Amino acid sequence: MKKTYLILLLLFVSFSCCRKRDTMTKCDTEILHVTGGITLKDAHNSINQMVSTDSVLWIGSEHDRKSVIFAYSFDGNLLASGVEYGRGAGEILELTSLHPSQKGSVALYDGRAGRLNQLSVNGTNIKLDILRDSLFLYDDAVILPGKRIVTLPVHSSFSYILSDLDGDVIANLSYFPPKPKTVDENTHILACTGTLAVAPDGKSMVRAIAYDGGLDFFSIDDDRLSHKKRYSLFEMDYDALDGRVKLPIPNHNSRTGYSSLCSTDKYIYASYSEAKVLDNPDGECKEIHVFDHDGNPVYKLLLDREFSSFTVTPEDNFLFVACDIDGKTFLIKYRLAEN
Amino acid sequence: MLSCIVAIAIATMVGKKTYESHAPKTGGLLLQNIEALSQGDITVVGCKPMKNATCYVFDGNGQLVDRRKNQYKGD
Repeated sequence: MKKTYLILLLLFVSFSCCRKRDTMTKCDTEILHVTGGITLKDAHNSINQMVSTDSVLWIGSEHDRKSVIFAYSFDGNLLASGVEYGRGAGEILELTSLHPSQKGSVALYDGRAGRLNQLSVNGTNIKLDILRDSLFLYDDAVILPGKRIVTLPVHSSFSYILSDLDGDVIANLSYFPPKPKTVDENTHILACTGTLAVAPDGKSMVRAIAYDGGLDFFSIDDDRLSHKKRYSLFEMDYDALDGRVKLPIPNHNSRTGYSSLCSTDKYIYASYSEAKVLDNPDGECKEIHVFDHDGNPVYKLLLDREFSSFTVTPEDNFLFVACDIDGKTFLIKYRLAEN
Repeated sequence: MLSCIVAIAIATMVGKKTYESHAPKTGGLLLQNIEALSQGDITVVGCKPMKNATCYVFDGNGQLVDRRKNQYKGD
């Protein structure tokens, strides 16, 4: 009888340890070492967007350069560049986001000009074509397979909207993570901005927002958006500025949390830092937490340096991070083990 | 009967004022602001860097006229 209990107990414990990964602390950690790098042609002044498609690394850079978008091969050759800041045709007012679109392509959302654009390469030039306009001041806008668009309004009771390319609303969702007790609803809506990653099949997405140590995972169905899971290491903490509109601002306890996202067919990658926001305004991290598309933690990556932007190749075999070394920007390359 | 009509009219006005549109309104004032934005005439000041936060600009009527990503409102 005693032996039976012991065996059952051992089985229970081993099952719990191996399979119950409800927190990242229980997951395997892989320490990464540099396997290569790309010295970027022309020093880029802060890379704030990175996306990789099948064989191309797309980079969005700060706006004191003539070109804003650069396309590199994975082994570091500059393939094309283009897109300038301005008010003319083919120009942008803001590089709000870059997201993979159709196979091998990238879409650029310009929230200040209100346009969702498709990037294309013509020789060594990158040009953009408007997919949809009148999308002013959204936090993000992403095109899905099947020519639908997810938009993320700010200053609205709806936080996510699914529509077609003509702008007809298919579904909307009002979801916000828990707010600090001292903050009102309107301020909290304004605080909930950040970054989004959509799965390549367009059936799920994940959001990381400012002041938040959590990730929210959503399902995208044909006619419905739904929140499926929240994974959180700490909840939002920030203050509200006095004024007619109480704007959200960081306090001395506000932490970075999840900063940047990347989605492949297999996994979601999210950079993470515990650092205080006021000490780390650029959201630099040394950790990347890896999840499946149901929001379950899978494993953790620890890097040998801090980075602010990153991307993972679609086959989950390489990680690229943008780092500033002695005033020059490099893309550091890491090989990822099969998981 | 008259009091019912008045009550319905008031309720309609209140409902209309509190309704929040998920898209920028096409009322005159906000449309002008959007045009100013697209022409680059609005300059945002008083924002500090912070990844994933947003620095907002509202006009005197509480309408959102601009915002800067990865920043927050600070002096």
